[in-house]
Amino acid sequence: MLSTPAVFNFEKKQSSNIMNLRQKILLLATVPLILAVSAITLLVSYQAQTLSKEEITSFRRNMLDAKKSELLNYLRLAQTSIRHIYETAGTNDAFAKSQVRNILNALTYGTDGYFFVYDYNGLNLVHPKQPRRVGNNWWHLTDSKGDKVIQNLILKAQQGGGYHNYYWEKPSTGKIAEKISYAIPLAKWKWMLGTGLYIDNVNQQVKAIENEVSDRISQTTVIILIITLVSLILVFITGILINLHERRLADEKLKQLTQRIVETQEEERGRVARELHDSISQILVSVKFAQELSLTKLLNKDPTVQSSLEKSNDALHIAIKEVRRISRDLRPRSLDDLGLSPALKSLAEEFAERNGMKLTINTVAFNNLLPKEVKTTLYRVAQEALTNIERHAQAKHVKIKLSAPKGVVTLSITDDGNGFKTNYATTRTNPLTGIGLRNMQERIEHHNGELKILSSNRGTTIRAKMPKKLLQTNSETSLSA
Amino acid sequence: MEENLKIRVLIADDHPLVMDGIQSCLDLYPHIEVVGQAKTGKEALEIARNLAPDIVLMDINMPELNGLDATEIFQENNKEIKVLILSMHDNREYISSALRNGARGYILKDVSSKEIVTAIEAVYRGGTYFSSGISEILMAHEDDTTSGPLTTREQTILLLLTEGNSNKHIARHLDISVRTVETHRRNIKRKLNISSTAGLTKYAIENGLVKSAKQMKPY
Repeated sequence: MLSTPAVFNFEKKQSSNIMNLRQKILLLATVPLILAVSAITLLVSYQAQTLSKEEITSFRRNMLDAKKSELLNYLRLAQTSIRHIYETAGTNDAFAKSQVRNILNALTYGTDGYFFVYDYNGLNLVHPKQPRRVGNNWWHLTDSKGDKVIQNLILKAQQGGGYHNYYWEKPSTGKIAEKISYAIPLAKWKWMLGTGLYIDNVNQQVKAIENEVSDRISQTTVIILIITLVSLILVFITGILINLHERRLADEKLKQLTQRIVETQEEERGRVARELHDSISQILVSVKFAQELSLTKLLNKDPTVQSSLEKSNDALHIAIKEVRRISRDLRPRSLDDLGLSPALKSLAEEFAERNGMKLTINTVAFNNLLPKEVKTTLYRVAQEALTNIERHAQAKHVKIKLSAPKGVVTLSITDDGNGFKTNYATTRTNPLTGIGLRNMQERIEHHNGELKILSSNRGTTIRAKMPKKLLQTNSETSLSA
Repeated sequence: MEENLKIRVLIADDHPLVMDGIQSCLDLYPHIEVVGQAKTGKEALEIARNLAPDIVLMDINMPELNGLDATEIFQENNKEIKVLILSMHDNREYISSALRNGARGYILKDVSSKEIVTAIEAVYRGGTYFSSGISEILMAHEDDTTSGPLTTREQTILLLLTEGNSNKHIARHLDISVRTVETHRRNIKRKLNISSTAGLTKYAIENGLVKSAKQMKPY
């Protein structure tokens, strides 16, 4: 993108136009980057959050499943340890009952693992960790969340066994904690036997994982932000470097151009000086000699004085013609007096006379609507194009057209010669090729116009378009002297 | 010259040395009287209004209205005053432009004074005169003066027309008669090959001749 402003408009780089383009390019590079990064960040954190939520849920489920199967195992153990008494005992075997209660009272596991027994009416029979409950009825007991704990446990047992979640005091800490219990019936005695595990540590673990995940998400966000910042800085640095490089290139070109202008100017001055010296002043010197001779002859009453006077007159005549030619070559007066169309017509006529090509010219009916510099520029473009055609094109027909459709002044010069490679003629690397074309380009661009060069092996068209606002119809120009 | 009347000549040239040179040449001929000198086209018009010369010997390059535009206004206002162009330009565009604007003759400044007098005599008698180089240039390229680009005056009038001014208004604005405006208008239509005023307006807009006519001053 940065390399496309190619050959022709290096002059423009100085102007604010290009600065705007630079800013636009920077904007073009940074805005999508920022947008993309923001989108990615949002998406990543959203996905991470959903994913971790799922993971945490499944982690929790797994933990609970593990706890549940542990519970079952403990209960089997308890069942096994009382089976030999329970199975042989009768429904009202008080001895067997007390034996079972003793066994279950003594049966504990871990720090907080114990068994409890209630009868179906809610009367506590076994509770090794809270002996105060034994012998009392807890049918109406509710936990901190309002759950009728004992009723529900008994219900689960009567249904053949089941899990129940509730809150209960944890023996090791003395604090209320969430608990999951499994209750089974000892149906013969209308007893409910159960044991439970505290799952507050599961919750703690889940919380820890959740914290870790959110930590990691914010970490990722920070990393993405840092990467973005670094990329942005890189983009800016690259932009500045390219800018500097382009500017240096442009400066170099400008230097070359200035040098070329100076050289051309000197060359032109040299040419004019040479012409003045070689033709005009030689003729004037000859006039001076002829006049001196006439003066002497007049004093001597020589009758041939008339012929030498005539000779000096003839020489003056030639001098006048020479001056006219030189001045017209420098700058045609008709451009100022009559306007661009007549000046172009004269140029075309002289061209056709000089080298015998067939030339057709179409111009507008209006004159002197263009500012002087624009007229000159367009005239020079035509002159340069014709010079090129004369030198290189080997054309048979040349067409010049000056028009102003809708006020856009357009000058085109078309030939049917063998064309040239536009790249070659305007290449950047060799400052000597295509100076003429580039010069044209620069002149046109100075007035914000555009110059198009279309060339193939069937001919070349050079088209210059000037912006609309250049046209002026005030009296100053239309009456210019 | 059979009659005793002298040919009254006004010289318009911004170069005093040239002017004096021409005058001293013409002073040698008793039947020619230089009645005035003008340094600009505008001055030529003013002096001619008072002195009513027979012939204006007109240079082209002058400040404040060049010789070509001045010639056109002479043609407009004082048809009886004949304009003879005396110029350095041997360019065909100048010559045909001068003829289009109503000049009766065109001579180059490097011709002999005798030829200048011959030209003045010919034009005074109602003929036309071109110095030898000029007629060759004109002969080489047949160019009918009825077509071709508009003159400055015609362009001004077209612009005023385009902006919706009536003939009367244009005449007042440019200080010329309504009939002259009509003539110009006819000529414009013929040159552009357009028959209606609407067509003229359209043509002018399409070819970029549109802007405020308020800036335009009469000559």
